Amino acid sequence: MATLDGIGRSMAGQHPSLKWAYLLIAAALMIEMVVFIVGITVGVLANDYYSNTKGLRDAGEAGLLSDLGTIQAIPAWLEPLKFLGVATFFAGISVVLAIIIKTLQTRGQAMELALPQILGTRASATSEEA
Amino acid sequence: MASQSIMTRGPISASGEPDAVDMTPMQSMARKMWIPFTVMGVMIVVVAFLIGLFSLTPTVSDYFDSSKDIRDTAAAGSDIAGDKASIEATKAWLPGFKFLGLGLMLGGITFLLATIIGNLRVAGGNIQRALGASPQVLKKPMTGHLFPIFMMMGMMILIATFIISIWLATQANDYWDHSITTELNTATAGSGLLDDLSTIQATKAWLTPLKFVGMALMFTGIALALATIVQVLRFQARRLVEIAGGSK
Repeated sequence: MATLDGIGRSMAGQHPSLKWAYLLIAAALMIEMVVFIVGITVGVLANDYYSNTKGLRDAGEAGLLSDLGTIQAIPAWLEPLKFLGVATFFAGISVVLAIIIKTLQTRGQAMELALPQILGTRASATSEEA
Repeated sequence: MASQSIMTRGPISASGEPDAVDMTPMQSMARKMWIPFTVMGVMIVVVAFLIGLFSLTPTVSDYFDSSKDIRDTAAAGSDIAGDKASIEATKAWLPGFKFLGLGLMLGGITFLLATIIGNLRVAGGNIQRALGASPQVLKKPMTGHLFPIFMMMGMMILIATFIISIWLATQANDYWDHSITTELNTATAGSGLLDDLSTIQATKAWLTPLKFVGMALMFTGIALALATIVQVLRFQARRLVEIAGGSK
């Protein structure tokens, strides 16, 4: 059975699970930053590769084939990584929403216990005045 | 009780009632802005769909109606080369436009969450007054300071990527409005055409991840706004316990 004091204590400070949500959001933000940095690297490589004539590119001279392989291979995992970042955001947001549900339940309990006490005090004060 | 997190009394309300708690200016602005942002976002996404359906699809269909030989040998300025240029240009700017629409919708959600926080603040103050206690509101937590900043940074990045997308579309249009066999495939090293090609390919490689960075900042803003709601709800429950305990 919850008590007002217990609820008051449990509501003090930050919700313990909120730090997991912050962690997930920070991880997601970092994933997207990593994707962007890798994207810049691929961009630099693509810029070098496509500066060569089509003849050279098709002949695959001077490591051009290796560059092409890298340009084509990186998006194969970079694309899913982008969505992993978005999924991590959704996970973080879900954790916060779950905390909101729990907090609303506890707040309801607090109202259930506090309001009769507050209104009872006021009613007795009014009858004393009368 | 953590008294340093509590600010006694909010600003006086427009009604001039003493002790009344009102929304902050940012929350009042958010209350007005969430509808335009959401509507503009939806409109942009719908327009992007219609452009894909009624402009891009017929052009792609026309272009691929011709054989590969005809497509590759089509001269600069011809209808077929024009179709190719139009397809590549649209593919360059349309995703940026869609992301801008999604960004506006996420901005609308952030404004909506700020409005919820404002309503919690006002309702919390009113309940405290109705119970005969002096209204107290939570001092703006760090998450409350940060979420509008993240939202604005995300929005600015998405606007910037859209502007870059338009520029990229002009580059793509210039490049592809040439004969593939006689001009594009025979472009010499250091020529303007090869420069355009390398610029287009390089920009494409980092522009899509940058759009996701913009979205990531918007999502961070939303998560921080939700965390602010958690803190406000916890404060209000704590305050109720305080009032019941007799410390008004």
